[in-house]
Amino acid sequence: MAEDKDLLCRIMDRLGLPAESSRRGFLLSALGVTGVTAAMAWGQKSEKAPFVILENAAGILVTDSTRCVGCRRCELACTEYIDGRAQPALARIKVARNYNFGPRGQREGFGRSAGEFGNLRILQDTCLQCPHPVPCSVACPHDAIVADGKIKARRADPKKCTGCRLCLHSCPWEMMVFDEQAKKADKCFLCDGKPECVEACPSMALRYVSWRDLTHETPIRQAVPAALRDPKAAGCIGCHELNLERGHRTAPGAQ
Amino acid sequence: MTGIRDMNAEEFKALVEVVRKASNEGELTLAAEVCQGGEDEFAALAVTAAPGAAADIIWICEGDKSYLFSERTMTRRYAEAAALGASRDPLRMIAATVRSESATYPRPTRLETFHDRPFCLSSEEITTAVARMRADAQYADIATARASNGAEFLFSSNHLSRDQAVSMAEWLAVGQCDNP
Amino acid sequence: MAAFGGWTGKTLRVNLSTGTVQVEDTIARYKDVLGGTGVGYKVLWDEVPARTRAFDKENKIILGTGPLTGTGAPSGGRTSITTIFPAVYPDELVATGHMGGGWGAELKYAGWDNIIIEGQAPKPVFLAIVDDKVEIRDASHLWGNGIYHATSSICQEMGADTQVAAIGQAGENQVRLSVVMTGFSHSAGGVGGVLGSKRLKAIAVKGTGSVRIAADKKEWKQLIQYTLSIMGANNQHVVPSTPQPWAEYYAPGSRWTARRGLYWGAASPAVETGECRPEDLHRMAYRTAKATFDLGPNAEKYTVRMGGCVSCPIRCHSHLDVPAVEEKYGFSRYAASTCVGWGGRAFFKSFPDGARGQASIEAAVVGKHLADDLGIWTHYSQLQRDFKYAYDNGLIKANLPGSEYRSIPWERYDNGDPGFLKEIYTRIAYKQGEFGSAMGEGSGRLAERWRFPAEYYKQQGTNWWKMGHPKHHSSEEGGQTGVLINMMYNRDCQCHSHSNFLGNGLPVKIQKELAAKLWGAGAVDPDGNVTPMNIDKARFAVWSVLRKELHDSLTLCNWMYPLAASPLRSRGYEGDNGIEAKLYSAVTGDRKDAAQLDQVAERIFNLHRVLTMRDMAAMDMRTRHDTAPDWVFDYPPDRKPFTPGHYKMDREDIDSARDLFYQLLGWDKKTGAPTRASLEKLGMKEVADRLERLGLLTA
Repeated sequence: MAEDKDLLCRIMDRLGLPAESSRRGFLLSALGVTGVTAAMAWGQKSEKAPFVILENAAGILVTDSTRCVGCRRCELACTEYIDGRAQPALARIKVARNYNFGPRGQREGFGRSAGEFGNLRILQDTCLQCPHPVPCSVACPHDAIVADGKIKARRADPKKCTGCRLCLHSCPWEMMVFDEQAKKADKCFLCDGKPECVEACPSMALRYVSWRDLTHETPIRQAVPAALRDPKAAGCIGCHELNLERGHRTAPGAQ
Repeated sequence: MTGIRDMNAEEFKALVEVVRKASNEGELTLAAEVCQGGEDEFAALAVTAAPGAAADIIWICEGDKSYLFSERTMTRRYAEAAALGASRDPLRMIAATVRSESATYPRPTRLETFHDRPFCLSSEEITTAVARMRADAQYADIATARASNGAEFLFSSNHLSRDQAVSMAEWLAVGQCDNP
Repeated sequence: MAAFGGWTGKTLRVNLSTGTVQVEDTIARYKDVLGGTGVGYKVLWDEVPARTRAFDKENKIILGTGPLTGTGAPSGGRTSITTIFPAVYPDELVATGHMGGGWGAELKYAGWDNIIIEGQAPKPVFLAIVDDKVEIRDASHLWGNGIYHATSSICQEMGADTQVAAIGQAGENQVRLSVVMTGFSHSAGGVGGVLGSKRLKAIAVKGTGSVRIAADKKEWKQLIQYTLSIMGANNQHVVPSTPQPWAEYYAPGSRWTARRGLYWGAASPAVETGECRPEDLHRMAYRTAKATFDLGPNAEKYTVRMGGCVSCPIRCHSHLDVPAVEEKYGFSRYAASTCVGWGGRAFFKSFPDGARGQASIEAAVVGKHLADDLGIWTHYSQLQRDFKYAYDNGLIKANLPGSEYRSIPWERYDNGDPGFLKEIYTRIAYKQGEFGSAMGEGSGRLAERWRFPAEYYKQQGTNWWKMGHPKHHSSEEGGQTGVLINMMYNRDCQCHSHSNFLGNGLPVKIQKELAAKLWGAGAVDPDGNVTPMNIDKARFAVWSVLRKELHDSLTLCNWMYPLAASPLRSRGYEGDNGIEAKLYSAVTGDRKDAAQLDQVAERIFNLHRVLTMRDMAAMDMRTRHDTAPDWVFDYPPDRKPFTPGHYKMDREDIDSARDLFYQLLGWDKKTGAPTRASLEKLGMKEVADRLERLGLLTA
């Protein structure tokens, strides 16, 4: 432990970060120790111990857009079988938002981009079960996004989530969802290894395979605010938490 | 190759798997290629070597050939059609199919059907076979019905009247397209 | 929590004259008619004065979904649009258009079950619905433009994932044959002009909410898997179209066209449709390779994929990429449609390279773009048939001023040039000249205006049925059953319950076994071998129309349901006649069995009936409304009814068909009018009272 702490200080120093990081600072461990366990142990020991997911997930969804027929039964299966209602806005796999004009939206008129009004290709968006650093987990001020169960799917823990919505802004692929009824964030957790969307797909456009890092080859959808990074994170967090108390959805003045 | 009588349970189970795999891929297994012996011997061995476990394996005959297939992934009707296809006897293929369809559905059979699996006949083979049938009393019941767009059908007058066959041919070739 | 799942509980009422918006309680007002056409008929009956005409301000137009819309109930994504229908002739009467796509589901997610549109906006507007925020916005920048532009522009304004239902120039100009379109290929026939008369360009919806499923999650999943397991291909055809190892039967006319060696040829890389066994639910979307079915083998290389409505696994809309269209005609190379939506080719008598060559495919794509952008309804291809009839009989030349006739490049038509279609569709959309004004009027008014000869209404081949509409699966599909169904409506009947079953590809013997459990084995005749009328056929006809209304109100797709048969040998090819009731009960929590739900459908169908009677001011529906054209009885001239080889009907036999149909519904035998007893049995006492006040109730 003492050696670890010493190593931590040296790493933090090299990175120009305060060695005695705040509770919401970020730990970067080059040792590849049993990250989560160690972090948890640290957390239990001290207020300042950070939480981080280090292991990769065991599985991932892959999509085949030559086969996607745009039926959106994947979205329906996701929320109907998990949440008990049909709500594509809450679906943890995303097809509807790309259906009309593809992932780049309506900027080019008909017949130019992807989608039903474009080259007819429907592109499905799935959670990449990011390797370390896991942006949604990193952004969460309450360590509510964890590597879950045997397959280490990145999963939102409703017991810890306060509904601050920071994670929604942190995912470059915009794959976080917010359950307006429960007032909690949520995300794809691969249905404990038997994804409902894969089972529901009538055209084999989705497969569940061994995890591979797709983060470098999947175009991102949104820019993640730099302010989420330490040391400004504390400020964003404070504002979000404050507005949560006041009942606003996001920062005041924002739409 | 082992005679059926000499097959042990292991060998029989292996045979069953071969047949099942082939059926799953849409193919019949020629009995002579996997065992020596007849249908009765096969049935007897099935009872002793794999009681109840090979109930899906069916033995059919077409001409002088015997075939095996698994009912799990192939229907008897298709197996019989495939056996006809394997015979490479266009006359037999066409006549048997036409008679069967005129009796079963009932409907006339479009000549184009015989290009498809499991028949895979060429246009020439079909034309030649139809001409030969016209000249052979054995096939006196096989007649032609033409739709208004020229599509040709055959039917068996044993099971379908000419009027019905012609009107069905017209519906299948033209009417259905005009009434989508 | 709401008492019922499925419904959102809110119906939106928009008054375009006053610019006001009201919220109504769906359950309190409309639960007993479900949604869709049920709500549409009820609103017209309760609120719209008798004999209001389609383009009058007093007409209302109701876009209705149902409790199942937006859920994972397979093939449940449809919207019914009910109004006084412009193309009905000579009196405009109630009828419905229907559209699929994703619009209806989005409306549910936004928190709305139905939209009732009334009045008339002083200037062009569109409705912007974002969850519970409803705004009437200026549409002056959209008016005069096509549906593609309206959709694109609204998506710029409201977001790329907005679901837009819009009219084109045809609807704006109150062309009777115009549509409301959503998505790239989903159009509701005949209703566009009503929106145009109200200056409502579009209704745009974004919904982030949910539809509650009353059933336990596991139970719901099991029911869905079960429903999927008994579904076939498009039109609920349950055998493949070619011999396949897994199938006992096959039928060349079946829409289960997938097979080895048949590809979505323009996918990159190409996708094989392959063998789709019924147990393999992951291959359902490949079963119906519709492009080659509709357009011929040359369409294989142009097929990118199949698609269709939200929640449907069947995918019956072909999506094509035909590069030559862009080069040669200036339309997008990308197109999607199905069935008669490819009707551009049907205008032509021939093409230089044959009926199903390259030119016909180009004509199909060009026609789709023209129809779907300008917003023209081709009326189940009756527009094309009337055009050819008029052309062949010299009626175009006789009725157009010489200069107008000469201004049209007829030689391009004669040469089968797909570019000629611009001449037809554009003129119709803008009511240009005599040609444009007349051709968009629909058969009834066109035939009157251009003085079509008497033979037009009587001869086989024009497809004229009655009241300005063509036949739609009539005597050629089920003999008397088809005739009865076609008689019951004010537009072409849009009923596929009977034709789907009869065309499902199973041997007649098996169809009779299945029929015996549902209506009686006598309901089914072998094709082209019609037997005299019997009670089984009457039951079949009643079942067919009731299920049509039920699906249009739940909503479920009328090309997939009912699931009377299934592809499963293990079930003896039996489907599940109670599947709609099971889905309804699970979603809403309102437990009804098939008979109880059919009773709701009967209520809805009766509303259609009384509306029609009211607006025709007629009680004698038997002679005034429930009619069939002469060709049904006179063609072919040299044959007798009930002999093999044709579908010729007998007038007395059809009279007895009406008797049995009325009897099953409890309608008056002489007039075919609902009686007080039959209405009160359905909880429609007020309707009976009103009919009585109108002098339309039998003693």
